[in-house]
Amino acid sequence: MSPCQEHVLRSGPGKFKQWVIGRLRAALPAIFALLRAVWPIAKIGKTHLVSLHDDVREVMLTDCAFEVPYGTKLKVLMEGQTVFVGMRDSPGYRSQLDRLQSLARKGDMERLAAAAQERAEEIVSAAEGELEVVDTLFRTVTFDVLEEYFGVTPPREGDMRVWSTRMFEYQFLASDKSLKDEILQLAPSLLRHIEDIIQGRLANGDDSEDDYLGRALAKQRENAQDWDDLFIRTMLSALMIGGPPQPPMVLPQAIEQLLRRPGALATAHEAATKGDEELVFGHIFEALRFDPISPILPRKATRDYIIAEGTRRAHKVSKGDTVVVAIQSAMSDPRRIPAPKEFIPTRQHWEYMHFGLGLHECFGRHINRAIFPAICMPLLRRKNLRRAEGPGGHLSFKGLFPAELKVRFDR
Amino acid sequence: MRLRTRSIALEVRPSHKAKLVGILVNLRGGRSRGREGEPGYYPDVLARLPTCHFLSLCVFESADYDPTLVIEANYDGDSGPFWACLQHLVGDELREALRCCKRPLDHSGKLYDSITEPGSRRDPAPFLECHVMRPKAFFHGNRGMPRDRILAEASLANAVQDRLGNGEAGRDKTAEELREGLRTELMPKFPWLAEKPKPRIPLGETALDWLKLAAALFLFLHLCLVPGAVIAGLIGDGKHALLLGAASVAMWAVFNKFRKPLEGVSTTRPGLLLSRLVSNAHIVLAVLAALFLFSWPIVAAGNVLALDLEWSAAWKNSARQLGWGIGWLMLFILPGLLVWMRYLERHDSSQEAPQTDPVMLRQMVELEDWIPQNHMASVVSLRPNIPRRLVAYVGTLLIHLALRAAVRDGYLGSMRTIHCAHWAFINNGSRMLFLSNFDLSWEAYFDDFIEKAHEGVTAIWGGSVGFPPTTMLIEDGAAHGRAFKRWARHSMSPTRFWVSAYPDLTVDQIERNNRIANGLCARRLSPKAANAWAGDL
Amino acid sequence: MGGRPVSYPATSADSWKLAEPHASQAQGMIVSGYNHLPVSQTLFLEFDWDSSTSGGAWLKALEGIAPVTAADGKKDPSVGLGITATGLIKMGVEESVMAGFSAPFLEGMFQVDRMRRLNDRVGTEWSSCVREGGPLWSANTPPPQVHDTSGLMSTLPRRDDTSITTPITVDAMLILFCKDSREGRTWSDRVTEVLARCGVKVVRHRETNLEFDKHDMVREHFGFGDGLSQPIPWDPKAIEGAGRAPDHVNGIALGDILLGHVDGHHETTVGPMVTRGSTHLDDPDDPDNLDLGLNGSYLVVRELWQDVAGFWNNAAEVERELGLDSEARKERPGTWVAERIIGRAMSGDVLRPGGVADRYDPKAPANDFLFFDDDFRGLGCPLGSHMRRGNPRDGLATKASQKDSLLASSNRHRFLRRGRKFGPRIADPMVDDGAERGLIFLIVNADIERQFEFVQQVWMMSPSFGTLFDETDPLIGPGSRFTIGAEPVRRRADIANFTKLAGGEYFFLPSLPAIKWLSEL
Repeated sequence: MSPCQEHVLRSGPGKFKQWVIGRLRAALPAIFALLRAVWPIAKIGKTHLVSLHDDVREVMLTDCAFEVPYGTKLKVLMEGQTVFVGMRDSPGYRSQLDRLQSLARKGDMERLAAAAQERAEEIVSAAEGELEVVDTLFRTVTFDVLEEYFGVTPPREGDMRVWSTRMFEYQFLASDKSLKDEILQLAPSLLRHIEDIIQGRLANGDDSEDDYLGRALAKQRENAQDWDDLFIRTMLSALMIGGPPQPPMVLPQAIEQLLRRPGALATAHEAATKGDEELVFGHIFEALRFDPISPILPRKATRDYIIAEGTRRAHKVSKGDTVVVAIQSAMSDPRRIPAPKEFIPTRQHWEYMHFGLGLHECFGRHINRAIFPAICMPLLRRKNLRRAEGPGGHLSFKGLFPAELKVRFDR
Repeated sequence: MRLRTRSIALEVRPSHKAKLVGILVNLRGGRSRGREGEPGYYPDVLARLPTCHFLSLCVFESADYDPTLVIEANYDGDSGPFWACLQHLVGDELREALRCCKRPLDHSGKLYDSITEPGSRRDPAPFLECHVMRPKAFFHGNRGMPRDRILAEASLANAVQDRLGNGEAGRDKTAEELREGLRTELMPKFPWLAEKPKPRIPLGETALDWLKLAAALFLFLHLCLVPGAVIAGLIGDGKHALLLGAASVAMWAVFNKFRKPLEGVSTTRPGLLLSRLVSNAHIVLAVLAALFLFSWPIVAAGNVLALDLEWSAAWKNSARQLGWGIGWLMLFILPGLLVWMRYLERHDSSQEAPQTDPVMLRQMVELEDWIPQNHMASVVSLRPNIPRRLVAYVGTLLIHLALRAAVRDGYLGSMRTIHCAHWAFINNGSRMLFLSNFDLSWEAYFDDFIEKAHEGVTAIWGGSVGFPPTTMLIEDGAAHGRAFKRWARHSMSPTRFWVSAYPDLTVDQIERNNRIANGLCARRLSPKAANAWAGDL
Repeated sequence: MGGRPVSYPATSADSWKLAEPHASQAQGMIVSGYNHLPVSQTLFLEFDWDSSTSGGAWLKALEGIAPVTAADGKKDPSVGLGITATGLIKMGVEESVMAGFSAPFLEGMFQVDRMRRLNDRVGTEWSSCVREGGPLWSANTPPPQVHDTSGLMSTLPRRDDTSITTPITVDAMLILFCKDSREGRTWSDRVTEVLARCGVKVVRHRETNLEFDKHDMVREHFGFGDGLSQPIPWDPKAIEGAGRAPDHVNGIALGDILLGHVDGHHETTVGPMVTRGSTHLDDPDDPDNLDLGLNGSYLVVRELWQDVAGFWNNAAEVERELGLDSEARKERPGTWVAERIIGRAMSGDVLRPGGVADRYDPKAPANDFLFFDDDFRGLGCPLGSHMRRGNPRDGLATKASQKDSLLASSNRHRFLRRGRKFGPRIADPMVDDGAERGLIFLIVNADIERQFEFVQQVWMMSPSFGTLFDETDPLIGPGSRFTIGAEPVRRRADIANFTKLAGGEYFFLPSLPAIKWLSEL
């Protein structure tokens, strides 16, 4: 375990609590199957849990009635600025998204994939047959390549990995007091750090357009109003919070699932050896279907709505209620997903909801699509990939974050 | 994995017909890359419908009813995933197509609204599923062959042909040496050659097929025993014999008078139905014996309960009742039903020259014969009288069950050109829908019907308005070649969108590929079997 | 079938007779191949008269110099006449009368969908079975006009022109049968002159012939016996001495070759009924009226050019590739392959595993053979050979129980063949002499769709004939692979096309009363 690992993740809950979380995670498929059969739209208080594929799609696609509840926390992180991630469909939302999307260029993904693969290969080949993948491989590579791609250099004081990960945790997963206190310190640090970078670039007349920041500054020169410093730093900060913490969460889970399925691991190895990145991606995505980054996603009803209207399970949701969509359940609903219990790496795109669906489909999906297989391929190419002996050989968690997974391979 | 055949029929708002046709045609237009305009070959569609064998969408147009949208799907495995795949392939177009349909008046109206309202993002699949029909009769030419297996075996057969080249290399070998050589060579590319091929039709399925047929037949015949049994309860045997004798003599006399075809109707040797019955007398007797045996305990129990008899007396009494029941069935009821049918046949009108709309005909002709397979879609109205309807409903069911149980090799009579065909009743059973995916040209398909399977076709379609005149249910009818073809053409509408998962393969070729594959899977074949196998190459 | 004697000498098609009144009404060429008149002048006519000439004038003029021959006995010389749909319209036959003719006849052979079915042209390209640059002649039938108010027609996947035009337009065809060539030429010159006066141009002229070899066999240019297998029409009412049932192997219903009689699908074709002496449709029940179709028929004509040297050199080449050239042979190189392409030996006998079929009549090859029992796998006569594709008999049956039904069903698609060859005989079949030669392929059938088109589309050109895959007829197909049955494993060859279509059309073969009626127009 690398020394900095210690503080990237907060110390997890107690042993018993962690055990309960683990058991719960493992029991989810069975729980969801039961819910789908007997209580497809479960209501507990003002919370509705939706578990059928059709209904999950309906809720996620109907953004006019169900908004994402991320706005409030985002404002805290952004010092009052709004970010599209937490907005409803509106001209402002579209404008932000369009501006941000205009920064991507043709060839970016290939470049990103190449960089990620090169970095990953360095790490794997340096590993001498045993490797801890969560931090050493996945987190390192992700942060390295994305920092470079976005143009957000690491701070001299503090650790970007800690900042991003904490803020990600606060935004999407937890809101305990100690975390909130920490966030009140970290959020301004990140914003100041990005502002400093922007000012630095402006000051030394750096007009390179290799990264997002450079491209945004170029836009600023053309259209200062749409691309003011505040907008640029808010977007970059959102990207850093939402982006790099995710691959180190999902990729270990994918590798863990592959290690559980020797057949799938063998075909993944074959695909990686052949350099078939599409098929490698298929393996990762399919593995995640069995243990997605988030089994559920929250939505808030902005008006009264009837889910599954016209069917026998039609269910009324009142304005202000919380609707939880179980994407893990939707992705294994046999009513729609062919052979959900089988590992099929060539499934169609629509069978997955890892990136969400509809209006708030993950902004970074193209980036993830490029770097997921790139990071994993050097590892999967290794012969005889297997768990390391001892407890490290099984993926362990701290809270909801993967903490450690050690693997061995023939060099 | 079982091949499922399903269809959906939805009535279309007449004002939206042209729009709907446009939507369906655009499905094709935008997807025919490579082989521009050729119906039936859409690689991207097929990749995204991985279980689909055949899919068709068409709009029926007729002067007799509002336009009707029909979606036909033949696919392996579960239905839910198939409709999901379809909706992800053409969801927006489906929603737009549904907007052209009438709002259903039944419980699915609300669902219809929520899918078709402006800006709706609800999936159309649940609505389609509300309206999916199970066919009343269907037929699969390559039974037990999932699409993946058909395609895998076709690519194996191609690989075999490539290896064999002009055949010179195989000249000095025995068939078995040749086969073993090919097996070894092809094993790396087709690792499944090492496995034992799955049985096409599992034993359980076969047993179930026969059981269903037996149950349906039993139910039908058992009901026919009721009149005789009731009369046996009312009068003594002596009087009963007199009554039955008189009634049956009278009925057979009438039957004999009317059984011959009318002037200008006869096409074949008359008396086909009767001669079939006579030549299969042993089967008829066996069926009656089985009927007696299975009915006995039921009727005996009925006697015990209703008449408060002892079991010993009940057995005796019920045997007597059943005996009379069978007597009435064979001597009076069956000829009676046939006389009734003959009465109808002598009075039914049939349409000699139905008008086919020239625009429709032109479109059908232009869409046909691009690949070795073709599609046909037809809707006909059923004759309104009760016996005809009954024959259509019960007869179709019995024919279906009989075909399912007895036909394992894809042959209807001596024709084997049908991949997937089905009949379904629409509009509360007043119209019969026929959809078929077949080999070769439409003309050839119908010549086959006329020449090789006209009895069955006549039995199923004989109750339809305008069908050529029939005799005794199965005779003549479809054997009137030109009239039958004209009638069928008139009932058809052009298929607007149609895909086939294996557009180059005929039913016969799929069977041949299957024999080649099965032969290669075997570890060892006897010289005789190997020779037979090599004959397929 | 055992030791049944041959039904009739295969080369003679004159062995059945129509009963009166049909015999004196039908054209002679329906019942006879005119073997006694081996030379014929085939004249393709275009109507080019001015408005002052009546549509029937040329027929009246023809009556004087070349009256069409009836089927009531041998005559020397004889005349056959066919008219296309456009020809009939130009002659002034009304639309309502035309509607009584069959659709393929009205639409013509080169209607766009028909070309696709017959494999003459798929998409925008002529297939390789057609002469480079497309056919030279046809009736140039305008594409059918469909009044489409719905606008749906424009949605069709139309990839090519809906009509094609050939350089030569043919409205009618006249065949003058004589004993020798000089007599024929003088006669045809006179006919040409007479027709010219009525505004009818001879736009194409082919001298065609039947050349009997020393075994009394007619051979086409490649050297194979031609017209060896003809169906035997049967009708108890209209054929003299018809037996109790049609011939088991080759029997067909008379209605399949002659309109107005019961056909293979148990129906009688009724043509348009017209009033004698008027041009109108009239009361169908009036006994004085004329059924224009009765005792007439349809004639399918295709002019096929043969590249004899190409064919034989290709056959020899294929033979070498198959490793057969080393085997000592007396025959011409390529014979083995060529025989298999045709399905018959050079002698005319059908190939059988290890040899040829036995003859019942030592003078002529047997024609009442079947395939299922004797050559199921095509080890003798290959499954895809020209002859087996042209008339599979019971060979498409896969089980013994299907033999009879498949044979009966095959026979519903047969037709009479009346083709003759043109062009000089080649001196050395291996050396191209540059001469134009070929066959005026000519068949008589009553239902063009069920007979000629079916055979062409479903048997000859189908890539899925039987269980064959991706191969077409080796003789007239566009060139494809060809499977030759052998043990333990089939041979396979790539055969190119050496028979090109140079023109063709569907003609109506009117009865004599119909000709009379037409001449009054």
